[in-house]
Amino acid sequence: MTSPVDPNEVRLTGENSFIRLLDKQGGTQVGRASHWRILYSPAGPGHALYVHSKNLTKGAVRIYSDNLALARWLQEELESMIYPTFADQNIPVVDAVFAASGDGMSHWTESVESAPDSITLTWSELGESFLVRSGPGERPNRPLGIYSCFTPARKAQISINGQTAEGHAYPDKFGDRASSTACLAWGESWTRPRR
Amino acid sequence: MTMNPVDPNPVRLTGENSFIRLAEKEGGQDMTRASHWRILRSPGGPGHVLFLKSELTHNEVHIYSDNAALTRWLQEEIESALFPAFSDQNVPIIEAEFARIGNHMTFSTESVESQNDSVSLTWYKLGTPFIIRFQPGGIPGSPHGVYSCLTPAGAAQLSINGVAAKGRCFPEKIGDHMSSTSCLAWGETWVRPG
Repeated sequence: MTSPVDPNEVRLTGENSFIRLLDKQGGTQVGRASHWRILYSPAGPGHALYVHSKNLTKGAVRIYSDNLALARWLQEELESMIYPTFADQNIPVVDAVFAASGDGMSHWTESVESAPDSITLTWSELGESFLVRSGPGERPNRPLGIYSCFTPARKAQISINGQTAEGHAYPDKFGDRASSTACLAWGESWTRPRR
Repeated sequence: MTMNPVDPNPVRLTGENSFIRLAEKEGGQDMTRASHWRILRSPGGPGHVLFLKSELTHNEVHIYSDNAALTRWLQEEIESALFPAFSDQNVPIIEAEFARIGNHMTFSTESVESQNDSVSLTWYKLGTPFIIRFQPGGIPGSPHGVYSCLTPAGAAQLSINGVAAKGRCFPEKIGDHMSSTSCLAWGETWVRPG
């Protein structure tokens, strides 16, 4: 009988909801946000937001966090693999307070409050959730394994200080599933082979 | 061929289901059992539920929640297979507020505050997290599959209005992996064949 226990080492558990805004279906990315809520990691618990937008940040990456060590660890361990643009450790980390709201069925909002910026990420017109699971090395360019519950959003918005980022979420495929370029990603754990 | 990274089964819920089981001796009967749910998404909506049975409750089941619909749905869908004593829909639901504190590296505490009771569940001496994944049919008596990140606790305490329950948690195996009768269970998703 197969063991119910994954033999790999857990690196983190938490959430990593994301938004990718495009100028048209299959078009160019004009905005991107990666929002982490971490319960367990080697750098402790906390939140981090990596974001850039063509019109709101002139393409520059901004990083907000309530745990600087976690923000740097996520860059090194995960963002360098997922989206290297977010992995530059020379980008300063802005202290921020994080909160979530919404019913999780129709919409969800993550709020990030810092001294210079007030940011909201909103996912709406939520679709059916599905469970992503793949072991270390099973997907191209993914030496780590992942378990995550994705909920695709038909609509998503990034706002900074009341200004809305240009671009829209569009349908996307994940494996054989209809998904979106903007998803809530809850119940997420990353694994790697034991050393 | 690359394996399809998506589980083909519909998701029923995602959230957390940390638990505490306390006994006087290893392998002995549970004197206290608590099932704490923090749900982000389910057909009953989001919210929290604590199912509790202890010598502190005179072995009666107490249910605390901030979402009655979620509670009844969890009883019908999940607890009826996990621990039927928690699935009796005639047990009244006590309205409560839920909060979590802790650094989650050495300890984590869930607090449940109702009009009459202050319940506290604490997991400490935390071990190394590991992932469990049961395919549908892999859990006796349940049609569901489950994925969860378990962190076993070397020690746990449940108290009601400042009085701690008797007993303690003990090492326990899941599959071939050493775990505990008390675990944090985060990043948990249940699926069921459609």
